Amino acid sequence: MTILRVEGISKSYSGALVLDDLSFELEAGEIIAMIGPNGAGKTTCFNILDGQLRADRGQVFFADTRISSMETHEILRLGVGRTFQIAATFHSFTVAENVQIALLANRGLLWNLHSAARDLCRDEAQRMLERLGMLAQAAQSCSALSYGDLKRVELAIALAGHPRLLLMDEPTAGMAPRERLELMALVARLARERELSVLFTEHDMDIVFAHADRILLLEQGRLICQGAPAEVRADPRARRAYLGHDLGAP
Amino acid sequence: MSSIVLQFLNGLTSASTLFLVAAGLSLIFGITRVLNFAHGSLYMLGIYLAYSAIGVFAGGGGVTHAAFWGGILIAATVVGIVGALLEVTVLRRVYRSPELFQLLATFAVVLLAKDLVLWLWGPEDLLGPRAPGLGGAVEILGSPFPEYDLFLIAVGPLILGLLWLLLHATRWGLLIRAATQDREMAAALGINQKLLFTSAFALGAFLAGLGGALQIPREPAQHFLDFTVIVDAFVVVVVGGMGSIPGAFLAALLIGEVKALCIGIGDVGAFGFSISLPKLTLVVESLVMAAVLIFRPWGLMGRALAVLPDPAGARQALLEKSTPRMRMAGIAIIAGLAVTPAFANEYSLVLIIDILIFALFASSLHFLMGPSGMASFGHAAYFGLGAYGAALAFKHAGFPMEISIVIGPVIATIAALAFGWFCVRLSGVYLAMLTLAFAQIAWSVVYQWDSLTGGSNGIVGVWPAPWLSGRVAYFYLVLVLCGAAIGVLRRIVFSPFGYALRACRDSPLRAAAIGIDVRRFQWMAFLVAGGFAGLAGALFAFSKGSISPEVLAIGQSVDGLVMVLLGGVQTLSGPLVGAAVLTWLQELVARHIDYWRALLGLIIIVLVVAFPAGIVGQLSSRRRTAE
Amino acid sequence: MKCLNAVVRGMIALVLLIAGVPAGAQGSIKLGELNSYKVFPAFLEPYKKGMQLALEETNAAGGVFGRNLEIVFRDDNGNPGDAVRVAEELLTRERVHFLLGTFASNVGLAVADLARQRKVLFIAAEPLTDKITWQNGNRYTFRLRPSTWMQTSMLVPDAVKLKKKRWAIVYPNYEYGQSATAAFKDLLKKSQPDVQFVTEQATPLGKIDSGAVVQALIDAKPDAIFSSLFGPDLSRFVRDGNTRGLFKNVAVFNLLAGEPEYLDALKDEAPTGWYVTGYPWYAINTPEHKKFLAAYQKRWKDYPRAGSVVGYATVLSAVAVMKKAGSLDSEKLVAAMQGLQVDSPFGRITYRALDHQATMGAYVGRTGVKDGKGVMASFVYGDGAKFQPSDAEVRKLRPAD
Repeated sequence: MTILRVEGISKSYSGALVLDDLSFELEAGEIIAMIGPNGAGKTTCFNILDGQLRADRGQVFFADTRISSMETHEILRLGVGRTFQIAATFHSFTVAENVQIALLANRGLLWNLHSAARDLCRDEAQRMLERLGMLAQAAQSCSALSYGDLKRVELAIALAGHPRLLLMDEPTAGMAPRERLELMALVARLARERELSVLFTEHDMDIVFAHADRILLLEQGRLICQGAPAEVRADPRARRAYLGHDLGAP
Repeated sequence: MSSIVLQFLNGLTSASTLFLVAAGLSLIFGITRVLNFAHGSLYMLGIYLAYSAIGVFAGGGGVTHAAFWGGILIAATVVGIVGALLEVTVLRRVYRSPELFQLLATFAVVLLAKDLVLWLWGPEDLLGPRAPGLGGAVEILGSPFPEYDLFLIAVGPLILGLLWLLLHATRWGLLIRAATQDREMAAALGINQKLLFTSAFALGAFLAGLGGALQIPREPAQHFLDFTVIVDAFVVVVVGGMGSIPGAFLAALLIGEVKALCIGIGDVGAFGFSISLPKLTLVVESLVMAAVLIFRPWGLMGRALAVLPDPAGARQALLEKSTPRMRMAGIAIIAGLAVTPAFANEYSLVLIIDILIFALFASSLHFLMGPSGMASFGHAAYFGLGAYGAALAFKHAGFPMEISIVIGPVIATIAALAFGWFCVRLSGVYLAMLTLAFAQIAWSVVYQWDSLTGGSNGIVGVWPAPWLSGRVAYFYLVLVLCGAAIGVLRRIVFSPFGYALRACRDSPLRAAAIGIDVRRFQWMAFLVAGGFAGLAGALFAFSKGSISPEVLAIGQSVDGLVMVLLGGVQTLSGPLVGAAVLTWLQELVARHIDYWRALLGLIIIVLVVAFPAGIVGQLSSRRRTAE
Repeated sequence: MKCLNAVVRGMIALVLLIAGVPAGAQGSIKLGELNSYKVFPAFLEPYKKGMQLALEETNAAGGVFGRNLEIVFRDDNGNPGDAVRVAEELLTRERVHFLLGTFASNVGLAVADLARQRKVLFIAAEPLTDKITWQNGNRYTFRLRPSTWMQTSMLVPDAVKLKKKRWAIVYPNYEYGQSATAAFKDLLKKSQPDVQFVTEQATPLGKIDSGAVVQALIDAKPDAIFSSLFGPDLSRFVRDGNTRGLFKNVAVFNLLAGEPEYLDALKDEAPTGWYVTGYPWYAINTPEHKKFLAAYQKRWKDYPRAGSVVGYATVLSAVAVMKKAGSLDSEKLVAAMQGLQVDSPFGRITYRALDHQATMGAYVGRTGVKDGKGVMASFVYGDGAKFQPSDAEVRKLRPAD
């Protein structure tokens, strides 16, 4: 089943074309990496997918629902989770409360004006944190966490909505090398368990080639090649685009 | 035809005047992010100083060129120095305080300046001399037009040009622009921020002083100038786009011209209705501001403001989950209040009624400012409409008092829904200023709709039902309703809805990404805050027996802001403490000292410097450090 | 930080000390006076001086009922909400016997209604609004100063005499300006049905855009102008009007402009030949005024303003009513106020039983410049008793007690 279908989206900022007729598909349970040099249009693409930006042309479908004219919160309620380049969490809450809020949002329980929020969805949040190895920090304030932990909290928040599709913009940026591998391994494991599709961008090619089922290579807003890691690695266009970058030994 | 041209020139004159004050304000905001509420006071100081300086230089003889222009320059320079001193002695200490806290410090300066001017120059209006050589008029299209006004028309663009040169052709200007765009970056480049801030403040103050001094031939120096000028200046800065000086010029032009045309066109008849456009001048600034902000959320030439990194600890969690000790203290206070009538004199009850009502008002504002992260400069709108709603239901519709007190908040809620719908599309200071615009529009409607609202005189005879009319009975009513309302507000903050609001404040991006409809939640926050403010207003109306448009005027909104900031934005009990301290202090000081505003200002400055996170904010962070 | 803490503590201690001082000497009769001293200081500082003068004279002459008279002054912050609280404080904490004062109309009305609710006498000194004695009049409230309607009607006879056809009107956009305008138009139309009002400029109080307003008036080509501007608005209007030649060959009527509070600010630019109401303290030759003037100048080394007379007469009224009632009981005081006669610096005035308005008048005349200062060059005293609607009309306007 196709979970995400992108049909010819284009976007330009004050005359400069940032995305040029981009199309691709994502199957259920598939993990896809979107790579390309800085300025290739990856973040713009993500922001169009989650509704923060409107494409000038083209359409996006999530499980056959056309989402390209929907608001961010509507799209994310359909079963899309997202993490950001710079981790975005609710800094005035504890780690557990961050996850609780996401759980409450997912269940439509936020319009409750009288219950004490910190008693709701507590156990579930704890379980989620346990999965991510964050249980020890559950009662800590988010503003006191290391950046790596913050990224985990963000992942926990994104997963709390039981998404079918997870959009991760540079999930490991700013983390220590060991942390990176652990985090992506965790994501991959969760994806397999939950039939979760993942679309992520990444600069670390070790991670890309270790976890991606398929790779999309963007350059100057255009999709210049896509395919299984081995195919992309062999593609001369990819080598050209990543001139000076190490695509790893074949 | 000639009349339109002349009115256009009149518009240009007032635009120049507006621009001069606004330019300084915009400059200061751009660099220090301080909303300088005392900017109008600096303008007022400029005109008074110019009056005296010219008088001294002229020495009883005729006003020479040297005396006039020298006097103006001296006045502006002195105001610049005052600005620098202000920055060094007060504002520098609170840059790292939570957002808007600096507003409190500058508000205290307003109070001080008002009494200082009264003390130094006396109560009477002082009309200065005409400008030598520019005192007459020239014929333009057959009508005499003041020469000095032509001069002012030229001064506006001239100052704009000079500022542009200063910002674009000097090293200082480069640093200023760098700091305006990215304060952290500028700091990282090793720029001496302290010096930069002080010099920017001095220049801004100089411009305000110059703007005032240049008005000497056109208007008398008088005590209201600070307030009339500051609101106009804020409007110009916001309409232009905060920090954009060309924007401020454009905005001043727009407002000056719209005003002149309203006056020039006079009454307009259409569809059998007659509209008096001159009457619109009462709110023309607010109408222009609302119109511009609805279509251009960052003003005419503004850009989205870079979000400032949170000052250390400024935005800690609202983690005042009641500890057993706090709960005991709360119960003790309520119990203490409940038995007050048994031993206190009747006046204490009157004062406590005021404090309780303002505590609810401040709490409702805090609900918007704190957990929801939306500052409102026009919160009096809901307080006032609640009061008017209740009073009108009681006096005109003939409902009993018990029902009227419910109708008030309903009206306020409806207004909050209408205003909030537009406001949540904006953010930061722009949002705050749009709330002010709506409040001013509401105020002007109440002020002018004589047949319904009693116009500027208001409505009298709004007394409680007989069983509640005694001071003790009414005291209990207020205690129960305000206590319950504050309790409910507190509960909402800790409910999922309150969590969602805080989530939207912490990170709108993240909130949307977990499926929260950020605007809708913020809109509902307006509803809650407006409703509770309306309840406070309704209780206020019946406690006073009468109301007039003051209840929804700027002064009321400012009082609310001062209470919230004084107590501390990050705490839930802050607004309660702020309301109690401000009301009590004002009552006490005003009773005993003639120059009570100056003393109140001084006390607030001391509090601001001693408690840079608000009274409760500071105490609780100290307690945390101690633990 | 430590030093600051000490400052805070010191300040709190000081405040507590002040709060602890018991107010008032024993045995004196206390009256409560509330006013917007800090909001309208130009008018109210002379007013307070007038009050203090009358108070000192009263006590020098043995006080009231052989007791010292004491007035407790309070600032109402120009805000009805604060004013009501201050009035409550005066009544309950200071235990004053009745209330005096107020300046702004909305504050006056609010305190008047409180007086009705609490059943205490209130002598409204300054507020001009007609409503305080008519639509919102009540049993406990009496007003001293001539109302908007009275002062407007004092100008009407001269306006009628001129037989000007095209009138332009400019007024501050709030109740006083609106009422003055409505009354003037109404009264003028009655005597001169073919009169035309060619433009009406309502300007925001304290924020007149004088250039544009003057230009709009010039463009309307009026024969005469009726204005109720005062204070800074008046100064700007006059200066811009002079520069642009608005007043050439146009008759101008301006309420209140002859009061020294407003005329003096204009200095040598004061307009000449305007019809105004006001207070020519320098030229009033009645014995009662001369006596007041001498006493005031001796006490304060300053000349009196209109406010001084109002303050002085307010205290005289308060003394007179206590003496007439022979009691401090509210109901007896209220009864004594009806028809009370007081000898004011403007001569004998009466508090009308009909609508509780005092018959204190104002001086009506034309402005001129003398020794570089604006003056009322010629004037007559407009007796407040004569400038009133018919009794039947007043009864219709005023609710029964």
